Amino acid sequence: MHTAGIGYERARFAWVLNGPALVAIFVLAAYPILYSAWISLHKYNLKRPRVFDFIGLDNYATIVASPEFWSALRITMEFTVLVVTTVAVLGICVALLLNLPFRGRDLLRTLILLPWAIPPVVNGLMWQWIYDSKIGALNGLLVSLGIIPEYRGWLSEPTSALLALAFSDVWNVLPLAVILLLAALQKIPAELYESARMDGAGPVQLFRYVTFPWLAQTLLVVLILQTLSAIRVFDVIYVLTAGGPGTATTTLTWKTYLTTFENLDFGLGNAYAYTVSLITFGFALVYFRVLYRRGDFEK
Amino acid sequence: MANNDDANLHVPTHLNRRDFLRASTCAGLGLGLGAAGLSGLGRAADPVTIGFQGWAFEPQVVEASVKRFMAENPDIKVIYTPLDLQLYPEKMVALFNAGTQGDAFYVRDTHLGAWVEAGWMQPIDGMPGLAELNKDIYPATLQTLFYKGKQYGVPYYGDIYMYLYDKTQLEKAGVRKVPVTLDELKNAALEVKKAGISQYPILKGYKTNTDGLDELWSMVFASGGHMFNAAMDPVFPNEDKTAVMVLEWMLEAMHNWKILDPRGLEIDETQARDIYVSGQGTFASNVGNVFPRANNPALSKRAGNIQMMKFPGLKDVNKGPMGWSRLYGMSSQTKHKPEAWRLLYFMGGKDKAGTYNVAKDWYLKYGVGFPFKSLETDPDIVAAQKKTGYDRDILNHQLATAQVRENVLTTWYAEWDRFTQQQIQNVLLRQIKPQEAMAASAKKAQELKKNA
Amino acid sequence: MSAAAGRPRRNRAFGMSAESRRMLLPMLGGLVLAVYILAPFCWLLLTSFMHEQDALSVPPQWIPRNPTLSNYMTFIDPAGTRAIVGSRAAEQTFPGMVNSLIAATGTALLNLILGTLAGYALARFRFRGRGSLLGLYLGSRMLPGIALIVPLYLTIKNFGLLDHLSALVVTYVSFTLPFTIWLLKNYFQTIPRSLEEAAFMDGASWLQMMRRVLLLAAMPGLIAAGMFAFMTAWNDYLFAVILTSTTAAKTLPVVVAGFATDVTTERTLMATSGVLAIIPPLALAFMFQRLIIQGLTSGAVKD
Repeated sequence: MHTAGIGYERARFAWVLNGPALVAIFVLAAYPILYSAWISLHKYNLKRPRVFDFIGLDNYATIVASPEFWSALRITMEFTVLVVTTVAVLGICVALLLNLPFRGRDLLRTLILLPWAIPPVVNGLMWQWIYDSKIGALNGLLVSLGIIPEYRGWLSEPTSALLALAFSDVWNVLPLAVILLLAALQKIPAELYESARMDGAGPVQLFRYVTFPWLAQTLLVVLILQTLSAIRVFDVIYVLTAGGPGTATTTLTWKTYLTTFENLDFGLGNAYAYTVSLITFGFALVYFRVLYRRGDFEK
Repeated sequence: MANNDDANLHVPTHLNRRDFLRASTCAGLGLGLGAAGLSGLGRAADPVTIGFQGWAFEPQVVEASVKRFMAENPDIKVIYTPLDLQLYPEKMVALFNAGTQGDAFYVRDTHLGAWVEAGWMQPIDGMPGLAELNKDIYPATLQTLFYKGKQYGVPYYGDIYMYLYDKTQLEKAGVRKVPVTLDELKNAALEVKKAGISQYPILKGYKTNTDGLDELWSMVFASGGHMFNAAMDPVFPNEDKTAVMVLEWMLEAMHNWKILDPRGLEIDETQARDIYVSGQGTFASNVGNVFPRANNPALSKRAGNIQMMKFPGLKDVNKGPMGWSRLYGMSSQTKHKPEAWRLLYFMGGKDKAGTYNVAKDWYLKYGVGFPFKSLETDPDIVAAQKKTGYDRDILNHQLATAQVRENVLTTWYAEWDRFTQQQIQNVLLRQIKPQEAMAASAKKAQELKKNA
Repeated sequence: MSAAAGRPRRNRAFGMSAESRRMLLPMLGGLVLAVYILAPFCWLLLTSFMHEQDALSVPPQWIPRNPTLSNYMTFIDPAGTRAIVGSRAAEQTFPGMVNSLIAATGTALLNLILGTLAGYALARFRFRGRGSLLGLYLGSRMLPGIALIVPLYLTIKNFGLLDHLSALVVTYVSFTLPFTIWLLKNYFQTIPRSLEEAAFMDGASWLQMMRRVLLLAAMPGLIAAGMFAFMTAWNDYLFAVILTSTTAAKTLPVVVAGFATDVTTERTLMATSGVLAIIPPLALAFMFQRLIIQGLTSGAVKD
């Protein structure tokens, strides 16, 4: 329960506190966001720079009517759901693990950052060498352990390419989820666990009734961050599959990149970008609806 | 010199580092020239500064060339900025939009049409020395410098796609004659496979890349076929069936005769090259400068064993593979056209002594293809080629009969190229048939042409 | 055996104390985690100690047959060993690392300062427009980076900041700040107001309260937010490559990507640079690890 009512000074103070952040974000973000929206409503291809016709939502109509869009959408959804679910589940498990006392835990808490510290460009190359069908470490390992008879092309088949891509992205982004969840876990008051245990709760119930509600807010953050990141994955696709084989790993972001920079179709490219934004926004709304009200622990 | 001193004084406080560097070096040079002037050389002009950008392939070599240029042309100062190789076109797009592109820059032939239409480049017809230069350039390379009848650049390098084989492995398999047609290639590969030398004798990377249809084009050309007519309409898959038949051959090679490695779907040209020189595969097709690399003992495990063959086609019609080039081009916004031209002439042509200084340098150091016919008989180059082990007859034949990709100068080439690569991958993944794939590619080409 | 009850450490099995046994399962889990983290990276590490041809051999050499330090030497003395290949990129690695450190640290610091202010306001005050403000912050992040490149380049150019580290810092801050604010808001909300109220009752000003009470209690959250901002800046490739062109401002990912040129990809050098690239963030993480633990015991929420 907060103390005073909304005094005018308090609200003003709040705005003052937000001032610098607003400036920092919008001075740089406003122009590109508006510019992009404006361009998406025009026919504008850099190869014909003199043509700049206002065509309203035509670009968007073109997108929705093209089978390439739907294919890219499907692949993006598959990839995103795969990555985000894996990261959320693994993230919670690892965070719980790192919250327990055991020897070597502190070292592990440092090590967990390793995948994150590797720039995505290097990450992509590293996985490329690992997955390589001729000289890769994964093949070498699996063959020497007798799990597969001969070297396989992990990236030359559509399904395994997507899975391989997802796995390498999960590896790269898991640390962020873990840190956020761990920080949240450390805030849970020990008494809550004590009293629940005294009521006879087992580990599963402890998790469901104590841990999870506390984590809900942070989980929301993690889900949104990871969804944003998964939808925008670029570097890894660039290095590992270039959208292939065929179009098996051509996500919406990759399509946006190709349209804008390879085909120089800025109008259509920006329309793709805004379409991606809408989809991301949709995800965010869903998450908020499910998780926002739970665990709002304003005391 | 009075006006150069000014340059030193009026440095605004918020100049970024590069401008500041430029201003102060100009001033420094100016002062130096001023001193020279005083010593009797006469009143030298202020050095003109021009910007030069390229992708970062061995930038130290470029820097050395630029230094030599500046030594020969003391009135010009060149600021060379190597840009990241991977995102070069994207970066240039940003630069063009902001007006910060250089006066001269590298261009890929696949982007020439697009960049000219976007208004970023200007024609160089009639510049001093150009006509002479053109006479000595290989016909295929020369074609790529022109767009809609005007010339937009001088060649950085020109190269052809090559088909390579390992002669010791062929001998061991008992293959007497080097294959010329695709059918002979299939038989030779089967022999190699039967002899247990290579599980998949043909190595080729099919991963999507900017500009990845080189093998298809080369096989079509070598078969005497065509893909586009003069009006840039596709003549495949029905009028000219060559492309479909080549694709069918590839499909059979991969899944029926099993001589073409299916894992090629995940490797690109560079990876394929690395794998080839590490000893895997008997036959491979790749860019021309892979040949010297494959026979270089410091870089290759099979140095001395690799030889080139005529690029195979459906039948032997004495036609060569596809050739391409990269150019040096001039910005349409440059304020220093004569100086920029002199830089272009030096880099893509001759130095003051009349030798093809830069082209020779690139070839001797890295095997980067030279675009000038007369260099074929240059003693240094001949010696280098002999050392690398080229069959010079075949090499010169292929160079002379190479052809340019028929629609490479359209503004939509890059998009069509990528789409067709995906179709080919789908064929090799056995998701669609070659006829369907080529039909889709033709349809795409027509769409793109219509919208352009 | 009730006579022995009450004596400590009596219950030993397998020579381990009860406490150690309780640790067994987590330690096993920790081992699995360690393998998961380290295994892919090991390959990078091993490659950095190999010669180029060995790196390409089949089957892969798990223990390099001819281990060499020459790759690392190239970075320490670029002009020496591999003069032609990759020397330029090797020269640029340390400046690149410095640039990355500066950009990332600057981003993290600015994030923490601005984020704390805004986050506190959103956490503690109910005012009109609060929800929309948060929505606005997050909404600014919906557009993918690809679409932002060209207009961002134009904006930076108009400010005259091209090829400047400050351009990168400013850009990264605009990306990361919305999330930092959100993270910190959530974190602050889990800290009971009673702590602040106690400080106010002692006569502390708002600033003093922040310094002495809230920031200490929120330390783990601050560390997490700071690390997020740092890493996002550290890892960025797309914007760095577009906004920078010379060693003055090139960051590490750009330099490392430069090792893969058209003709001379040197896997061993790239692996080495990858290994070097992770040292600064890991070192920082190790230092901050301690702070998290300290923050936990000092500003703990035990009423």
